[in-house]
Amino acid sequence: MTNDQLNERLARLKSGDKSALEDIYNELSTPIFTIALRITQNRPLAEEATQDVFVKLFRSPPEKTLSNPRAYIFKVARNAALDALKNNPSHENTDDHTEIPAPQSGDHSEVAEALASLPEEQRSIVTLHINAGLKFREIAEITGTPLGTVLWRYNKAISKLRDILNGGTL
Amino acid sequence: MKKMIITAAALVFALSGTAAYAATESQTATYIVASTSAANEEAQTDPAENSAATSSAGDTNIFYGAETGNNDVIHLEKHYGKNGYPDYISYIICTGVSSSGFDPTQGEPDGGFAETYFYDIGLTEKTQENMDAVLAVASDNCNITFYECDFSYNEREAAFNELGAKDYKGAHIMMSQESQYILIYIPDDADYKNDIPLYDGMVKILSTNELEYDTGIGTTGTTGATTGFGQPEIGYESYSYADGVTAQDNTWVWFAVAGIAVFAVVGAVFIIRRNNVRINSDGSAEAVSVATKADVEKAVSDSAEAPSAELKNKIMKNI
Repeated sequence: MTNDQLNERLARLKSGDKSALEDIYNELSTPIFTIALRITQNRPLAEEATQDVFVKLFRSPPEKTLSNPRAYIFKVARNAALDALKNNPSHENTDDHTEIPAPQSGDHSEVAEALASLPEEQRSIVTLHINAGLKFREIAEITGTPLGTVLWRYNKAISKLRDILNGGTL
Repeated sequence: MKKMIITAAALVFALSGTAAYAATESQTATYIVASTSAANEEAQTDPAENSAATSSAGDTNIFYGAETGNNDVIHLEKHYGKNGYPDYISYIICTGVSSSGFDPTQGEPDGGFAETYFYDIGLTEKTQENMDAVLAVASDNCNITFYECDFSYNEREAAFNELGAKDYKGAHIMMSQESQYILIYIPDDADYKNDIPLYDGMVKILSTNELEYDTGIGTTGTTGATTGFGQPEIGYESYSYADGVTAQDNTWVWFAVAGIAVFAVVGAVFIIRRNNVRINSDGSAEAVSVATKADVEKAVSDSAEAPSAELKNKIMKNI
């Protein structure tokens, strides 16, 4: 779905068009849920955050046409996941990154475990870039982080993931 | 092995193109060969000398723009400088130009010379898709060798701007589109040395004393005097070359280029093999699959998960 198509769906939400929300859900629910899951490391919390995203979009769609609606939606998703973590402190990440990853439905537990070993800010950048397909400049804007720092964290995260997937330790 | 021989032949051909240019263009004869070797050999110890980007891996496939064939951009570095660098490009080095059929005793032939431009281009993700994207822009007389490296141009630019905003007294910060590194020269007594962010190795700290000897590799002119590359500039976009260097007998260049090519190929084979063999504690070895950056990104991409089937209904009921 292009940005224009996404804007068209968002405009329809203003008139309460549920099918527009369904279209957006079908297109973006997987990356949104993946982002929420990577940030919260908890499946129920990730579903809660995903639900919050779509409810918010339906109840308070953006007033104006957005230049980058896709980045906007993923910004909402990231914030919803961080809010879900804040509201459930027992699930909040600890500094030693030892939280147990959420159960995996596919055969990606090794990747999920490797991702879980990264600091939250690195995990967010990796998943926003790879799963949401956002550019680094967009991620810098969403996270309020300088572009150089985003790129540096991304490279650091990928290096660590590569080490782990090559047989290194978590 | 056949592939390696072809690669070696292609590499020799590419570098020979550079040497051919060296033989015909007196002003920059020795510089070009020198910068080519700096670009291809990682073994340099001084990052200032190794200012051209280093290659970290792999085979050096050589492509012509014509293979995907379309656009007409010859000066790729200017094109990307004007239109912005994609996140996967690290550096672009024009290593030389060869003019086929050039004869200095004859005038320019009708229609001009058939020139081939040789480029070394570093990609942070050396995927077919990214190589194709560059080739789609390049003119069909661009001969491009792709290398995989760590830091992108955009990353370097962003870090450069961040470093430039700091108050590092007496420091000279340098970046170039021809290197994947940022060089920061600081006084020996600088108290901020440990505060300088290194961005995972992208930033190299050097002494300002080294500025006196210039950032380049220098060369020897006909007078026997060694000449540097001129005074460095802060935030330079390219090296400034010294004037007055004339060509000498360049026969040695051909041997040097051939030697470099052989070392490059042997080095590439060594790196590839080393990366794919794990030495066990008992001394035995086994082949292992090594995840590249692209592999990691694909694995992360493939690990995406969909929410439960009930969630959609739950949301539709709640709105």
